[in-house]
Amino acid sequence: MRFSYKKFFATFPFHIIGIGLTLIFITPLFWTFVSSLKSNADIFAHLFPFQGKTWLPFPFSAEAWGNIFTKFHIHRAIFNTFFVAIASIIGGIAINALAGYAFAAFQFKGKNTLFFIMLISFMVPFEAISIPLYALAQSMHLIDNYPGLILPSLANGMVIFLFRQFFLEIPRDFVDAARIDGASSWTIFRVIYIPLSYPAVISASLLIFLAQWESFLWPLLVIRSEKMHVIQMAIASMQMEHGTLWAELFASSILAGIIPLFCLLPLQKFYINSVVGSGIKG
Amino acid sequence: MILSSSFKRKALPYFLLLPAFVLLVIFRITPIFYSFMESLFQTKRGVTSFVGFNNYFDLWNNPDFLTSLWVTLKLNILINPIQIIIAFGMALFIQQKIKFIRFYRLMFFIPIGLSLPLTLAIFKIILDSQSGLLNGILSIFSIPPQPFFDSKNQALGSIIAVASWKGCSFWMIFLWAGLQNISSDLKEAMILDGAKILQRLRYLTIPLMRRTFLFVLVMDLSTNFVLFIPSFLITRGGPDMSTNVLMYEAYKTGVIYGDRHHSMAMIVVLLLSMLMIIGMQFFILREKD
Repeated sequence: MRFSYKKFFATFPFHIIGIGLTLIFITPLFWTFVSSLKSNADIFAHLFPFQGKTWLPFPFSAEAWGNIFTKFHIHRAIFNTFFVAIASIIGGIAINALAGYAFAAFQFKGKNTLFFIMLISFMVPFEAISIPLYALAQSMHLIDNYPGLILPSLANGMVIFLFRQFFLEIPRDFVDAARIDGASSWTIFRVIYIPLSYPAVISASLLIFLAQWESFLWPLLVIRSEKMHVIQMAIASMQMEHGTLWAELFASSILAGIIPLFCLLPLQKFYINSVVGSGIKG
Repeated sequence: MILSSSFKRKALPYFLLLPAFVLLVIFRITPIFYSFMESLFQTKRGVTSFVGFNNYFDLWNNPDFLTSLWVTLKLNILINPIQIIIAFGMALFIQQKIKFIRFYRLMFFIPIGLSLPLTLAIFKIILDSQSGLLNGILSIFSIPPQPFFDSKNQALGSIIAVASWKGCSFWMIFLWAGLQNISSDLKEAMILDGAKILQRLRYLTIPLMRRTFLFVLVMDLSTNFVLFIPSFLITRGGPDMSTNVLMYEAYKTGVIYGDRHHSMAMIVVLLLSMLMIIGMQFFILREKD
């Protein structure tokens, strides 16, 4: 394509906006990353008056990156979060896919009522019920253990809805043909629905993973001991209890941000389908 | 044999739904009723007794609670339009067919991957009134240091700014998807008729996006109605109660002060507002179909 001045000037204002917004999104993260590679004393040394050195990791120090593992055991929080997330994905996919199949492929009494209950359950934000749920969790012995982190969010109306939407698109002909051949509903689910639904499985896994990775209020309520901390708690407690260890806070923030971004960016398409599919088509 | 197989077919969907619904009922529906029940009782000297709606009357006479209602309202009146307008602008932008658009798109997606507590931890330091990065940058332009979270007048605005930095990208996705549903034939026809960008927005894009806007508005509203992590992590509701939102007041009352019954009454007020918002959406979306 030849460079054309006319085109360049026509799109010029767009690039100004694009670069401006990019800077707004990138600068805080870039500064956070650079600052995590300095000693705590150097991070704010060149802000007043402002010097270009603020943007550079000099004098270089990777001490904070070591400290977050040796002193703050961030890997333990990451392990806990992954454990909870993977258990939630396995359990959540099984439970919600079955429910999605029921809503997509069957006519039964009370279907609309049950569907309505499911919709309400995911439209009421979790924060709003978290305090009464915490009171209930205490009587169910869900305090300070893994089940307490996993069970409450296992059944997920949004994931049920996602599977239902996906299953509705599967052509009736496939199912009818299988039924004529004498296949039971369970066989149809196993042989037709499951193999076709891998995009929904990926989308749902991503949704569940991000929800667990980002969850903060619920772990804050039910987790007591430090060895059960999940990632967002680890960062918050670092901020609240060790308020002056900026480099350590920045290093763990970068770590906590990078992991979901690496999952999210290559799977962007699935993520967009999952959030949008749950909203617009409904 | 025939009977049992037809019974099996009829019962199957209920079995499929059973695990999900048992969990939904325990962990999503019960807390709603539980909070209402608990809000009708009060414990005095270890004895719990039924007090009817007294806890609600107490709330009505509680200035902290009334302030928290007002702050929540103010926050939502400001943050939702701001986020939706910016998100819509971003959605229009990433639709453009210009160079580097894939790069811009990627950059605009970044905040989606960052959690709110993490974003707040970073911005708490960037917006620090003494030694924050932003005040350092402002000093280049000889703008005096701003107090941000430390001032009664700027704290809520700072929360709105940070929450929008994180939130706009998420709503952008929905609006972007809505834009892609608009047929390109219509758009081209309007361009041929000589309609300018603003006219196309006003007469084509925005009217056709009505449902999407409404959906995003309700979702955004129900997210921001319970937005209290910034008050919790950064301002502790202050300075001078200026960021003391309803959800934070309920958290403080119930979890920190241990006044469970009043806290549950606040939660019921919150849930009723929530259900009203949701009901409004069902109502508006239904009349169009």
